[in-house]
Amino acid sequence: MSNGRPPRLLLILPTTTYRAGAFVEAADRLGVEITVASEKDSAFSERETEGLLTFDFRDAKVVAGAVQAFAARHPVDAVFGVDDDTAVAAVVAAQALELPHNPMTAVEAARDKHRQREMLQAAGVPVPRFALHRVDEDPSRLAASVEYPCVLKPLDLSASRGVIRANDPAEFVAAHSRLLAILEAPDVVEQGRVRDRFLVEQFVPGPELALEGLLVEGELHILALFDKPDRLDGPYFEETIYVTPSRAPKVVQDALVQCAASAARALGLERGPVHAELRFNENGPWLIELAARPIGGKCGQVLRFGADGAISLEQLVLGHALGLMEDVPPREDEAAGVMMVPIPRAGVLREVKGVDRAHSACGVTDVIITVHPGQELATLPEESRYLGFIFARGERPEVVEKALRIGHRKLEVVFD
Amino acid sequence: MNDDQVFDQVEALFRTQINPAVDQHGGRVDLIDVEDGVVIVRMMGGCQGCGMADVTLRQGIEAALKRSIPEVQGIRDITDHSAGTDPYISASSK
Repeated sequence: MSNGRPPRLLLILPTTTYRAGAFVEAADRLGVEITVASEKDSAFSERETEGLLTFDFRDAKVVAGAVQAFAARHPVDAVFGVDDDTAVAAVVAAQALELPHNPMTAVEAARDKHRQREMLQAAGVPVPRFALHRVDEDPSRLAASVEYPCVLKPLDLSASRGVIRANDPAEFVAAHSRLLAILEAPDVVEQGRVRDRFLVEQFVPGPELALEGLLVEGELHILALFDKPDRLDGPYFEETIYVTPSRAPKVVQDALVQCAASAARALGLERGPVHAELRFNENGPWLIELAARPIGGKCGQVLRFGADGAISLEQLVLGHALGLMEDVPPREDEAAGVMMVPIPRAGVLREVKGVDRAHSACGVTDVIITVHPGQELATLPEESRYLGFIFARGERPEVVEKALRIGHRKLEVVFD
Repeated sequence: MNDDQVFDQVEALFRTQINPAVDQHGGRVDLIDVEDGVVIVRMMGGCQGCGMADVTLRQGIEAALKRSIPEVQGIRDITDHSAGTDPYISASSK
C-alpha cells in the first residue's frame, strides 16, 4: 500500500494522554513512519512538519482539511486515535483520506454513554436500565422518581470521573449537586464535554471484569480478560487492580465474551481495539460500557503478546491498523496485573516515598508515579488521574494480586 | 566522525535550535553523552515529567538531529520524569 516507502501512520494523540511514549515506541519497533497529531502545538511543530501536526480534534471540518493537506505532501497509510475523543477524530481523518475505518455512528455511540445504551438495549444486549436527564431538572423531583440504588453518570467523561452511586433521594440530591459542579470544572468546559445532560442508571451488583479485544473484519479477538478484585460498589467507582487471566469460572468468562462481542456488533464496530467493562451476577452478564480504544492509563504495559512476549499491545493494535499483521498472537502465558494507584486524599503533593521499596516487592516489575511534587490533587469523583501505576507478574493471578497489594503498601504519599 | 565529533555537533545544535525551541514550553534538554552514535539526554524544567516528552524527543529532537547530523543513530532519555516539578503537560485522561 505504500509503494516501496515505509508505511506512514497518523497517530492522533491528546496531549493529556498517559500513552504517548508507548505508542511512539510501538511505531518505532514496527519500523513505520509516524506523524503525531495533537490538539496543542509541540515545541517543534513549526520545524518538524512531517512528524508533527496540530488540529482541533472536535472540529470535523478542521480535522478533514488538515489531514488532506498533510497527506498531499506525505501520504498516510492508516490513522489511529488512542482514546475516546481521538477515536472519533481518527474516523473523520480516515474518511477524508479514504482509508479503512469504523462507521462513524459506531464510534460516536461508543463515545456517548446514552447513545450506546440505546443501541445495545435495542439489540438485546443486557445493559442497566437507564434514563437521560437534563441538568436543569429539579433534583428533588427527580430523586423521588428514580429507582434505587442508582448511578449518576456524565455522558462523556473518563476514568470514572463524576460517576456517583445514590442509595436514596437524599444521596441522589447530593450526588446531583456534586456532578453539576464537576460539569462546570474549567477543563470540562474547555474540552467541550456534554454538560447539559447526564445519565441515571440502575446500579448492577456483582463483580466487574474488563475485556480487552481486537476487532478484525468484525470478529472480536480476545486479548485479555481482567478480574477487578476490588469490589466496585460505590459511592465512587475507583479503578484499582486489574489481573489477568481471570479467575472467574469458564462459563462466566464465555458469557462475558459473548456479551462483549454482541455489544461490538450492535454498535457496528468492525475493526480495531475495544475495551469493555462488564459485570456478572445471578442474572448473567451485563455490559456496563464499551469503548472503541485500547485500555487506558499506562495499563497497556501489562499486556505482552507472542511466544516470547515481545509484542506490546500498542504494537499489536498499530500493526493491525496498518495491515502489517494478519494474525492476533495470544497473550503470553504468565499471569500479569496492574494497579492504578489511587490518590488517597486531596491536597498538594509533596512527594511519594517508598517507590524503590515497592519496586523491590516480590513479583512487582515496575512502579511509575505519574503525578509530580507540587501538584494539586483531588480524589474521585472530581479527579480523573491516578497517582501512578504498579505492575506485577507471576505464575498465578493470586500471586500477582498479592504482589500489587504489597507494592502499594510500601508507598507513602506525603502532602503539604 | 567519532562520538566526540558528533558530541560537538549535537551540542551546537542543542544551543542554537533544540533548547531555544523547548524553552518556549519552559523546558531544557541537557546533552549528557554520545555513545556509538546514540545521543544521551536529560530533560529538565517543563520537559521533565511532561506527558508529551516522548513525542518531543522522537518527533522533534531526534528528527532534527538525524536530519542535520547523519551519524546520529538514535536518542536515549535518562530523565527521572517522576521527579519533575513543573511539567508543561500533566497526563490526566484515559
